[in-house]
Amino acid sequence: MTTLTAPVPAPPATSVVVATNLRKTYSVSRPPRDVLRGVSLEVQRGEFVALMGPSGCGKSTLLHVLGGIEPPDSGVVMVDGISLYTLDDAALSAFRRDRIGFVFQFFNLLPNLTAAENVALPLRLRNEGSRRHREGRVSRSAITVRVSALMTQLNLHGLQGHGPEEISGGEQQRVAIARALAAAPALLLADEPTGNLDWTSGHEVMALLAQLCRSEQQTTILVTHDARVASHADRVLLMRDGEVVDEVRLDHGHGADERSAVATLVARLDKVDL
Amino acid sequence: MSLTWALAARAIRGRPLRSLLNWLAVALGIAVILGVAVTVSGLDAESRSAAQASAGSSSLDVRVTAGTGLTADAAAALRRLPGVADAVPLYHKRVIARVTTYDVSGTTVDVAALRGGSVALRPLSLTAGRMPAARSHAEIVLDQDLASTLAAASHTKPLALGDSVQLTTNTGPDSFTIVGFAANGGTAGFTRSGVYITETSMLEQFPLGLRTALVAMHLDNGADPSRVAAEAQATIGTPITAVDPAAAVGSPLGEVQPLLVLVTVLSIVVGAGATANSVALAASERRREIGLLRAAGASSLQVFRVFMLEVGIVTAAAIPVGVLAGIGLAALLEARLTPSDLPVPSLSVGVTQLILAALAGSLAALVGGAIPALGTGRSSILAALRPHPGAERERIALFPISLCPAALIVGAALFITGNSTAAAFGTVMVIAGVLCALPVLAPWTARLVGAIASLFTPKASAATRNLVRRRNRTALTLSGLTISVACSVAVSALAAGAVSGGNAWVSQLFNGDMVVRGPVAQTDAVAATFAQATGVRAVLPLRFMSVASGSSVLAVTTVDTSYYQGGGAALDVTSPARADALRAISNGPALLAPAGFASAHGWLLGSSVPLVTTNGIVKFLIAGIVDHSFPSGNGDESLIMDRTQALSYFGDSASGFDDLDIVTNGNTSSVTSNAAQLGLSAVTVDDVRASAARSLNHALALLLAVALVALVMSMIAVVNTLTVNIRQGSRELSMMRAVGLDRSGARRLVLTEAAVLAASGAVLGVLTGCAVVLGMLRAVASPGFTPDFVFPLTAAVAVVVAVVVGSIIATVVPAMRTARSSIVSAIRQD
Repeated sequence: MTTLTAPVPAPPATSVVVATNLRKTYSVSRPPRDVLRGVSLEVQRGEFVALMGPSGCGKSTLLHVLGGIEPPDSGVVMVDGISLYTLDDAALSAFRRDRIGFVFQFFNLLPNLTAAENVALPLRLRNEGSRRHREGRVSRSAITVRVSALMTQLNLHGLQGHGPEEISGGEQQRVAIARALAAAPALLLADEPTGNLDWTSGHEVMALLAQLCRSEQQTTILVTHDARVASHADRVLLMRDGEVVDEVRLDHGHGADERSAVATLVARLDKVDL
Repeated sequence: MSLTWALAARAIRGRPLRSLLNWLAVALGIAVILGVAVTVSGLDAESRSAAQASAGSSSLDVRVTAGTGLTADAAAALRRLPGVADAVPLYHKRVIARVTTYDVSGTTVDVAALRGGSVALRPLSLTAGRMPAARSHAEIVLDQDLASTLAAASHTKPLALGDSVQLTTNTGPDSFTIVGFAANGGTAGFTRSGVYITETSMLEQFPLGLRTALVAMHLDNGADPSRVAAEAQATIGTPITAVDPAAAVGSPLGEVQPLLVLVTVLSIVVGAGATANSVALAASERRREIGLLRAAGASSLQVFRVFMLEVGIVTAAAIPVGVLAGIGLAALLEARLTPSDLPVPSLSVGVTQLILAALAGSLAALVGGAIPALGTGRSSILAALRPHPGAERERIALFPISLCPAALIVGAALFITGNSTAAAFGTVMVIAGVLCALPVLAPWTARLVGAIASLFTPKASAATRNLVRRRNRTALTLSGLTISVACSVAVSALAAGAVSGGNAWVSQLFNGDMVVRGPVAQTDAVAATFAQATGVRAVLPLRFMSVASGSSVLAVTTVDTSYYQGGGAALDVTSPARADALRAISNGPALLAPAGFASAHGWLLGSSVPLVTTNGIVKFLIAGIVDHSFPSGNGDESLIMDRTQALSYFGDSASGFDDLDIVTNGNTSSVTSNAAQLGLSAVTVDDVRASAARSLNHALALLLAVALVALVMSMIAVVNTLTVNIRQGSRELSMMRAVGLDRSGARRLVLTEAAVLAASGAVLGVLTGCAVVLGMLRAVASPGFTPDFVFPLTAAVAVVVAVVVGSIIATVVPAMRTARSSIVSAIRQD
């Protein structure tokens, strides 16, 4: 049995994600559309990276490729030292379950499960997975403790028994983040996590993600088209036509305020005509 | 509770209607299998039991197939064979019986010898009185029918116990006292209706012309019948046939059993299809959930397990209900389908039947569910996570479509072989071919139906577009409907074809419009009585005989050829010219052979058939081939012989008549009254035709019942799909409402979609049914019986109307609910 805790802080130079020369073409489009044109990227442990760009620039596809849910046509994706697309379906599923957390814009929670059950989902999947990929089974009590801790940490205490339809959109998204963090993943991927939320809820969610990165070294990659959302990241990659065209590093040290980060970002966006 | 259980159980609770419909389909599948199995085994058991009762304690009947019968020494020698516990010869003889001296001509009756209350080991069942006293020479038991005939012929009051009957014995007419009456129908088919006396009396008073054609043997336990038969052959020296009388009976549903198996299998496929449809719909509705599970790290196997567990729970819940429904169905079918000559079997459900039915039904459901469930785990995670499932146009899977031509060609080739088993497989292949092509056929059929429907409602084109866009789901739904409608139409077409074939057969047998039948062969004097009756133009005696030929016994019907030559229309001579064939059989030892029977025996025009006659073995020439002939007791058709020739080769045994084919001027009352006076039955040829049709319909009723259950199962799939279509289409519908579609318009759109979907399935089913029935007709054809294709218009219209109306009714409530739902809530993202 394994006891789950937040990721142990690791030396900052360790790369969690290394993607090399990723290419992807959607051939169902007429004409075929190149959505990734040789994208390479490296994300360090505890780093918070945002992907920005106009609709159709390939940012969501890149996120899905990095998350192991959409194979590239060519290129290599290494997450935590493992080349994702050399794994078979069961191994890749187990890797996603244990090492990657997803947060989506819509439809984040399973409607048939309560909030607590949704959070516990990756751990329960691990316990009920095939024997080959069941290493690190988690005891029922450990799951309960972990779920309770996460829900408290994400200010969801008291919502354990509620169904998704019984809680607000912001709460749903926080439950989704809790679920993504349940297995203590090496990488958290968030696709427009605030796109379906009002400003206040969105801000809370982003503050939470930023806090997780900074205090718990949770490596996070986020896709957004909103400069205010991206301004929480350490690094913003700007994409256009399937390529990373620019990179902005934002300072979140003492004294740095959010407005200046947004202003820096917007200025760079203007510069690269995005 | 594990996560898999929790997800499966909550999914069932979350969609109670779909779970209920799936549960019902699985239960019906189990019910059909169990119902058919119990009915068939019940009727078979009853039939075997009747045969066993009829066979009495005889384990082996030895018949001499040549010469004049067994000698007393040969019969005694059989008794001494190892393994034989008892051997009793069947002594029987035809003699003249009279009740009074006024009955000048008398009535020819069969006298059979009783030993220990049995005839050749077959117990005689008394309805009144007692058995003749042992060694009695003056006591008889009379069949009830024969008693009525004798009284009618002598114009006396009904015979009673203690009355006397004169029988022509070795020394002249002797009086015998009736001490008992036997149940109708004679004994074990030895006599149509007879007089039973003691064996002592038989041997002493009727020795002249006494034939011993059969010895019934009761074997010791463990004795090998085939070895005993071989030793009997060696002992007697002449050709014999040895049969187990209890085993020589066919199942009441024997002839339709291959078709029954086929329709049952197809109905199981429909049941599996209903489950497949249900799981596919569940997967479609829950693809977001699948996507989330997969993104959260669930393997495809884990997702598969969730869906299969759901199917398993529903299936397990359906088993008890399916078993109960199956028992009810069996009770209903047994009550309706038991032939009139058998008692309705008591409902007996074997544990093995029960387990096998539950297993087969469950397995069909699990296999049906596994196919789409496998697909769910393998579907793209991103596709599953798209916000508006179903908005995109579905792509056609080319692999199943590519199988269609091969399936159709193999099916056609199997039909051409004409073998019934091959034709059954051909049916499966043709249906499979159509199902493979459904993703292409379904949209085109929907467009065609939609075009017709657009004449009545402007909503038809929009409804059709929805069905075409979701072509794969439409095809999946139509697959079950197509199979079941095809089955129903095919069975109806088979019934119509068989009835038509039966009508043609019966019409070819008789020249006249009335048929008179008696419990025993009647004398020519009786025929003359009918000839003089008012309104009668001609009377044509028909005598049915069994004649030995080599190692087999052939059925021969004698007819009055002169009438046929003079313009009688009966007997459809296919080769050579009718006049030549009839002239040939009236001039010498020649026969007309029914086409199928001749073909089965390899006989051609000019072939010769050796028959054992009173003059020894005579070779009869096949002088003509007829389309159909009179049926014999074993289901084959009989050979046709000229009556005069039969009298010259078989003597008095060919005289008189069994049936009288009477040509009237339309006034049949005098024939009917004459028949009643003589204790005979008179029926019209139309009645004979109707009786044949009833018999065929009776045999096909079980097929139709199974096909109808399959239709109900496929309707479940249709309702299931329509409900999901409505639910998933509610956002689209609400958008249309937002831009001005009113509630009644929304309602009409949904109902039109249901009608177009159901009508498309019905049209495809009717066409498929008609295609397969052409091949299936070959499967039911028997020698001489080749039913034609008859389009079952009434059944087809009824099925189409039932399916369309059923779909509309099932959709009314969800359509109204959708039309009333809030536009805002329906167009929300989630």
